Amino acid sequence: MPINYLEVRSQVKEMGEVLRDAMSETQDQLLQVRELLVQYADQASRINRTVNVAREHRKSIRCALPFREALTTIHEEPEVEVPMVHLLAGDGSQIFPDRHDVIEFGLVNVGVIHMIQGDNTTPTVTRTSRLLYPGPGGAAYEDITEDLVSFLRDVDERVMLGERLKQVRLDFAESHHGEMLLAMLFVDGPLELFGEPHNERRYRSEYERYFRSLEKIQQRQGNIAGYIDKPRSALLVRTLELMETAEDVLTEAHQEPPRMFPQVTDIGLFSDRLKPGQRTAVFQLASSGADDFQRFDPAMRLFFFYINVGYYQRDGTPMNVFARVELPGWVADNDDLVALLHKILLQQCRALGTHPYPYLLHRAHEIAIVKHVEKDEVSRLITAELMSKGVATEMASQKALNKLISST
Amino acid sequence: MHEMGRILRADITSCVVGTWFERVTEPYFGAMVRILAAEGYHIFGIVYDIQVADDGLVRQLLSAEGLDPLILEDNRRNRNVPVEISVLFIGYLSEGTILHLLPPRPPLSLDEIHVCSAEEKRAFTTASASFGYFRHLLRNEDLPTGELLAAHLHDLGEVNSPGWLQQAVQELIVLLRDDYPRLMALMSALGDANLLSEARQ
Amino acid sequence: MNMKERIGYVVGGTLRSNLRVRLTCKPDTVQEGSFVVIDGTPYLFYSLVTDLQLGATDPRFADEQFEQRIDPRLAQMLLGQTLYTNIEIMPVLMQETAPDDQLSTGDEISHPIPVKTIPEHHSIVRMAHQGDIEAIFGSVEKKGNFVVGTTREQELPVCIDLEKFVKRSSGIFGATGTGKSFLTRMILAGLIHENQASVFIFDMHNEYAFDRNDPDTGGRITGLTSKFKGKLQAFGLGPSPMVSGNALSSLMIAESDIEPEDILLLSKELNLRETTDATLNALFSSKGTQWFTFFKGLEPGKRITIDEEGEKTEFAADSVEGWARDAGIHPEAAKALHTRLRKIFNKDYIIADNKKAQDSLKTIIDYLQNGRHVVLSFGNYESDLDYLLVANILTRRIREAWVQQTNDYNSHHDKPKPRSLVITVEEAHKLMTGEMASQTIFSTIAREMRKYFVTLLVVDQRPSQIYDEVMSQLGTRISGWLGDDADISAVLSGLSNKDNLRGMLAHLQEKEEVLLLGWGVPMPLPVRSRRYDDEFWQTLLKNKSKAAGNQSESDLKAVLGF
Repeated sequence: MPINYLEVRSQVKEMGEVLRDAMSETQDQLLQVRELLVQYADQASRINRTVNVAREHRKSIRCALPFREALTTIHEEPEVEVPMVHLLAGDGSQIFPDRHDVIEFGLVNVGVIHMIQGDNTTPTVTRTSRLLYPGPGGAAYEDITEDLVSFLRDVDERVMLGERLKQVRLDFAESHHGEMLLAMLFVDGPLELFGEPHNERRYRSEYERYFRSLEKIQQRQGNIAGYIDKPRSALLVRTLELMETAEDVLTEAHQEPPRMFPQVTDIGLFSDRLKPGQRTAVFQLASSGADDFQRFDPAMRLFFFYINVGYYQRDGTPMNVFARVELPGWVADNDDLVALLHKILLQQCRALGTHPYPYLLHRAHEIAIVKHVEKDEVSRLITAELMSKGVATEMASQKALNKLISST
Repeated sequence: MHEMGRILRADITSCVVGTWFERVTEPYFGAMVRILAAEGYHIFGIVYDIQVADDGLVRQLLSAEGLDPLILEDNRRNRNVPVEISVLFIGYLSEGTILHLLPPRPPLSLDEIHVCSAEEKRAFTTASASFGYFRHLLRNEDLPTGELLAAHLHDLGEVNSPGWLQQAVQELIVLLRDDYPRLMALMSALGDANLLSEARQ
Repeated sequence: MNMKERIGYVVGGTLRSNLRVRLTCKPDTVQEGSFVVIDGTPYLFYSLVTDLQLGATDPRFADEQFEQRIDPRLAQMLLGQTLYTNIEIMPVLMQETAPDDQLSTGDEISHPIPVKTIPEHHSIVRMAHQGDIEAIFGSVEKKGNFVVGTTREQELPVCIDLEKFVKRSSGIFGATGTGKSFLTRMILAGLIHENQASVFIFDMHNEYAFDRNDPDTGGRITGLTSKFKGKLQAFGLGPSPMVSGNALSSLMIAESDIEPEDILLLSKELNLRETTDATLNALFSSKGTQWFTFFKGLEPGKRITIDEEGEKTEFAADSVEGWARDAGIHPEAAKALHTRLRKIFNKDYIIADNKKAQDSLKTIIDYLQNGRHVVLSFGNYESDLDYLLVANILTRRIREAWVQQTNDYNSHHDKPKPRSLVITVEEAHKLMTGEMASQTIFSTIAREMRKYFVTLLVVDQRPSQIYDEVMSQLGTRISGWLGDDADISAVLSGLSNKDNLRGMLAHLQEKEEVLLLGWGVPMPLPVRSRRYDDEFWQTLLKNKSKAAGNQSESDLKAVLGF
């Protein structure tokens, strides 16, 4: 049926007015929040106290805590020479379960790329694939859901990075006796995990598997960071809101303190002061997820900073591209490492010219991506195997038959 | 045999071959190739196009200032550089006989394709005294016919006699003598290819 | 066919227009008028090249000198395929070539016939070889065939059939200096030698009878009498004729042989008035064959006295005016005529002695009827007036003799068949032009077409001025170069394919090339004419018996002096 353009046109007009009004309000909020940022820039203790109070009563609050610097601190691009450093990036892709398949399976595909900055060695790529299938026990999962597959993908990304780092270290040790290996690891997305499929009995063990992998990375002197492209978080904004919230409201357990500046994001907050090549101060992440990290190992507190990986155009106009970088405590504690991370991220992003994004993460994504044709191929493999084992049910047989017919 | 890739898609007159970067030096413009379509059934073709498709990443890399050698290496060694080689069919071998006709059936996806050896080139081009396969090369006016034929004849000049070369050029002139632009483009290309130089005679 | 002989193949054309042939050899291999043969099995098509055209598969190949732009070897290959020459050829005759047992005619050998169909596409075309020439023009060996010249490309001998030649009046044409006289000498020599007919030559400029020097080359030109002693008799006009120091038999014209038409033929030369016709009629009516003698005897202005006083006079009866008065003719008209005729009255070859004149004429007629040949030199009487008068009178008288003999032959079968006679007239346009043209004896002979075994051999450089009807009756025409369009048209009058032949005529070399055409030759053909020299005479007189032998083409050429 064709669209009723007459109706849509009037609605679009209405939308324009609403958004214009909203933008106007956003601008107002933004100005206010920026003032608050300046106001509270150096009040680290007071901020810590307020946030702690609020979070005691309400664990779900997600916000930022100052670390060692004023909130408004801006770091220029470091003038450091990047030493020989092993760069690893990992990304994952997946096959979500499809109820039309003979069994609803999932697949996680992780790609890892390893490049040695300052060396002529050809970068290497590795790819691992894990089939997820429902079953009563053992390697099977009770129920393959999208949440589970996404969760396991995120876990496997980081785990595979750690495994790769292990191999890299072994290879390095063979050829560079006694030398220290400097390694930076990157994942796309936060280090904090989301989407915990609590209904899956094995999720906790997977979670712990993740933490252990991070632990191993630390032990293997790997420095990991999570890169969040186009961040929409309002962690610092939330903190500033809390600072403006009355104590009695803060301590109200039954409801979360209301949002004062719902239209404003952290990027909005910093957009007027964070120039291409610069980063903000490092902040600590205060969230239930971060709490989990801390509980596992205090060294794994989560921190983050904002960075502008954009560039200046020929006429001098800045082209801003913001990202949020999450890092674990052992990296955040080391100013040199943070500076190196800053530098490397800028180098990696600049490699892609007008669309800045870390090259290695882009490649990792490419390596991991699962195409439709590959999904169909796996599906066919499974069907054929089950048919040969006589596992398929009558309905499944029909499904399978349809599948087989359509594939020939 | 020099396998150069696998069939991606095909019809009755041509096919597209996909290959990986390291093999890209194998096929060349104007090269004669052979597709092992089935037992005893081989299709002969000529490479008329080699396309290196761009992708978003390469474009982005080019928009940056300078290109890190490691990134260059990574792209060349690790990435599936989408190279597509277009092949025009010029005949086939069936039950031991070579015919300069379009093949009765196209090859299937993933069939092997090889660059022809010198003996295969000679056998195919001399199978008929009338250069019947030229009409396939001349049929499609969108192809760079002059360049393609010059490259092809230059390639064949290494394995066939000077007499064959002269006859081939003569036949082409006859076939194209009513098409001035194409014929002159061909002559220019053949001249540049220096096919009839004394050294080759 | 030897592939080397082929020059091309048929690519198009029609029966009415010409055929188009793609040349597979260089264009300079053929020329306009070349004799070519198309192998259009089962027929051979004997044809003439009428045009050559350069062509290109695309005009740009012709416009651009791509030899300078691309590799020379490639350019050469390109030239051969994209630039070509087409020739237009006119098929004239066709002949079946099927094996004997399959011939549809049932004859052992099929003969060439006028073309009625055309060959199919890609029929091979080649230059004619000796066998083709012989198939059309006859073998050199055969009696009665006289070699008139050779083909221009391959120098193969071409004959004319003298027997056919004398069956109609014929003509030899060409602009001044193109060699008509030499050609005429050769033809006459051939006729005399082959004895196909008796020849009577009006030698207006004293060229044919005796040896003389060539004013152009300084060489010696052989006279006919020196080679045909006993066969050819030389006569001269007047009482004691001499030419080049040679005494000739005398020919006199009787006054009684002069008819009014003979005088009228001299209107231009004598500047006769319009009243001449009436005056002559009056004379002839009253005096018959003696009119000339009578009129000559009249005295203009003679008067007699009619009274005794001697004061009154009148024109005498034997005066011009007196006769005119008595005959009812205006005296001034008669007087004018008499004055003008004085030129003729004074001619010493015109005599009143009838017997003497008739005797000399009879001698000539006897010679001719008995198989000998006569050349009449005009000696010092080289004016047009003499030529026109004498040629006309003599031709009429000779023809009368032949008419008589023919009538006798037709009515009495035991009487001998009249000998064929060819009367050779030069400057024919003077004899056959103007208002009187249709009434001259020459027009009559031409129209009769050998009814009385008499034909003409007309030699002239201005054929456009010869009466149309005469021209159209000429069987064989041999023409050298002509510069005037009207002359060319005249030579071609009455023939088919005029447009094609026109070009051939116009493009002949000035000397030594002639075009054979007309009824008397199987097909038109340009040839290089034979040379009239010592070799010609040696060959002609040595080759008395045309016995067939296995002579090679080169032997034949050697024999023929080529």
